[in-house]
Amino acid sequence: MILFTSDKRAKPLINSVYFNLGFAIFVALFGAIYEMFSHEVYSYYMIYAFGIPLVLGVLCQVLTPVVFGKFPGSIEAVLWNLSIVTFTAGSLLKGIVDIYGSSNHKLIIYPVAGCILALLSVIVFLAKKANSNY
Amino acid sequence: MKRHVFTIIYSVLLAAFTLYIILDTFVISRVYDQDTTQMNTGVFNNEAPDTAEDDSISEPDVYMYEETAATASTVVATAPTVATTATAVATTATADEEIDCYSDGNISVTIEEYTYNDTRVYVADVKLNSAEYLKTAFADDAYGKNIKATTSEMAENNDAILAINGDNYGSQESGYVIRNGIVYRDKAGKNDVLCIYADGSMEIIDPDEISTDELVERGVWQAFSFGPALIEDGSVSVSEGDEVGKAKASNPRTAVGIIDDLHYVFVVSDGRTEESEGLSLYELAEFMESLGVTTAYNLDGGGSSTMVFQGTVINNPTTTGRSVKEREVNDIVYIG
Repeated sequence: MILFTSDKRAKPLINSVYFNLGFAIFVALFGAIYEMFSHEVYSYYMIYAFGIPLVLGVLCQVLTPVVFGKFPGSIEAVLWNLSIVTFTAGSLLKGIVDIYGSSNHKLIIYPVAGCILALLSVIVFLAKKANSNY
Repeated sequence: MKRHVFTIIYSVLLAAFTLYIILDTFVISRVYDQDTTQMNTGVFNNEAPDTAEDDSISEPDVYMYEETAATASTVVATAPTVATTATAVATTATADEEIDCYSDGNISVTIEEYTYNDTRVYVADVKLNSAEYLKTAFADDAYGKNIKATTSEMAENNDAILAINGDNYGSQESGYVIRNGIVYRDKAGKNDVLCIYADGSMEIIDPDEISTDELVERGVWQAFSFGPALIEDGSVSVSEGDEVGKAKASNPRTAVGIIDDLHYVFVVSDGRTEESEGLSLYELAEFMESLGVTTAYNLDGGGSSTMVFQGTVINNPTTTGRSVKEREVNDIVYIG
């Protein structure tokens, strides 16, 4: 991260990583507090929801310039972050519904929307990378 | 700027959709069947399903019991009677106190309180002349989603002698729902299904292996989808680590079991309080095994767990553990 800070092109990525770090902490706290009051009825979707921004938002984004040799731009970073927020919101909601002992088939919308946004982000990133190679 | 506009619009849509999902799951009522008072008593004659409205069961079709002559409905005793003071031990449960009882020519109910693993457990020992007296009812007499009433309200509306909360079918989108011989939901769920047949017997079935129509043809009078099965063939069928339904610890519980032909126990335990810790599923199964139950099935628990006997709430239902208050549920199992 320190190595990136001197590069202006790294700014969207750095902002994105900080956003996801904060988001992961918030989700972890939310999950812990929710589980505390759920009378030991638990849901893995609630407990491990913080892992989504941590893995996809922090780890993947930090590794992106290392693996691909290119910083993601702001458009793909926004799309990627929105997909992370969508996945995480879906996971938390699934946890709430599970803990209540209920179900709702409409929850499938979250992973579908999250996948579409993530795919768009990857396409934009790869398209930009291909253009920059020419 | 365009990026921010897109982010804001998408975030607002996501928040709105999330709010809709929460309301859809927990608040918005949907009625799928307006009148659920009909009963398919054809199952008592091994007849094909008859969905014609039949509000009354004028003459019970007795299946197994011989003593059918008496039909008087007399409350034998209502005053609390102390029976024994022994506390339950791991292998044999002994009632602390007989709380109340009821008997007529067709129905006999005795309510007893036990102390088991620092938990108050209420057991209704039920003997019937026919399984036709073991009925179910939906909140507001309507089948649907998020249609709720308290167990005591439903008990009163149906003149129930004894009632416990059911499987809260409305919180799930799948799982067989057969009530009073009528199929309300034929979509199989993940959970084992408890079937109570017209001859009064109980069986745990795998919904992937048989359809609801076949179950009714076999004479299924009631079917519940919650679980898990606690006891099968006289043996505990859950392990200490096998906590199905994500409830891993001590909680209020509701369960139903059968001891012998047309001899049932309805069990409700208090929990989440200093006075009564609550039971794990395994503890509940062990307790019911000690009562001599051969088949037992877990119903909706937690704050839903409620037992009502002749208009009085017997247990101390609580959701938070801080106050005693009945939670509204979708359905009840009752004797009446």
